[in-house]
Amino acid sequence: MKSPTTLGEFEQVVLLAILRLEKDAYGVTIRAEIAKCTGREPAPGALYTTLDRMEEKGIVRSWLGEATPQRGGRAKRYFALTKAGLTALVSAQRAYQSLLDGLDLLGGIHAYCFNC
Amino acid sequence: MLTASTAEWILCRVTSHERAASIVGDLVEIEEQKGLLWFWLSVAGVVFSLVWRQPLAFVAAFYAGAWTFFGFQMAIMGINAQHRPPEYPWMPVFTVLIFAGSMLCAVSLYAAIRYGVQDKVTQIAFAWTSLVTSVIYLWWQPVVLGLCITAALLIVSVSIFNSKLRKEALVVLVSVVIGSVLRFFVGLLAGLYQHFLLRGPWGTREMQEHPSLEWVVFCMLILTFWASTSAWSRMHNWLMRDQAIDTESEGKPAV
Repeated sequence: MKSPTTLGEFEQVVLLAILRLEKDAYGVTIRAEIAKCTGREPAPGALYTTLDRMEEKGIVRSWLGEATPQRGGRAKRYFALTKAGLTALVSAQRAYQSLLDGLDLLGGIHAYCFNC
Repeated sequence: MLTASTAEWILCRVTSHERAASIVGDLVEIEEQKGLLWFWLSVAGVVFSLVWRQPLAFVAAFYAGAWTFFGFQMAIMGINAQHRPPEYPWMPVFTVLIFAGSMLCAVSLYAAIRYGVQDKVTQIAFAWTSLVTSVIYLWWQPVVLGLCITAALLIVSVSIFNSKLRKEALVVLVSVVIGSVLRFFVGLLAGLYQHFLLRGPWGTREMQEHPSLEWVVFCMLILTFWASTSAWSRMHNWLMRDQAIDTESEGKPAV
């Protein structure tokens, strides 16, 4: 069985944003979703090169949607995870989960600050 | 809108028309909140992000190929070479290894910068580079030579019987062969041009009196590495497109 693709941190963030947005995942909404959830706005250059790279790897698939007057008649490019992308993301999240088992990081830093 | 059209024209220089249009459309949507300065900084950022890898990879490949060719030549044919292989029949074999080895170093570095070290084709290229380099520098050690030949035969066998590896090995093979053959012809043409300029041995004084030779060789080498790295990029893109992974369809296929 082929091992899932290894994902970088930002790639996982982008994939999770795409999953959350379901059928409305394009550049603007992906960027806004990441900013809303992480508190940091990704640079457009970093976002689009990551999306292109993930499409080359076969992790995401894109298609052109409708053009709007707001965009000067330019079509939106929507993204969705492929089966391989979902597999890679689940694998990465399982790895995080197994490392998090037994820890209660969401309880705050004080639980693990031995010298505070 | 002139601003958006200009930005789209700029982005079309570095990516496809459809992608450029969709990126500019996204930036136009956000520009209403962020302003014109942010729009142009973002365009500049996107252009830089899309193009920086390729020229950097090409320059690194060029210098890696040039320096390793020189190094390999010195190791085998240099005046101070400690272990020269027998003239016949091994010198022609090592000549081929020198050309192939320097091209392997060049395309390995190109692929590592352009596609990352986790790319399978890059890893295959690095494996072959290590083997060829080991043979060139340590051919006189029977154990090393035996291990390298065994490893090479193993890689070739696995590549033949595994369809995916076969395609990945083909990318490496085609790029290296193109680069090596062109490099060989550059050497031949440089020799002919040198003979045309001035017959007899050349020293530092002759090189200074005829600087055109260096420039001609430099330009031909640039073309050689451009051909080799372009072959790599095109075949790599073919390989990626050929690897159909998803069976689900979310919508229309991307352009």
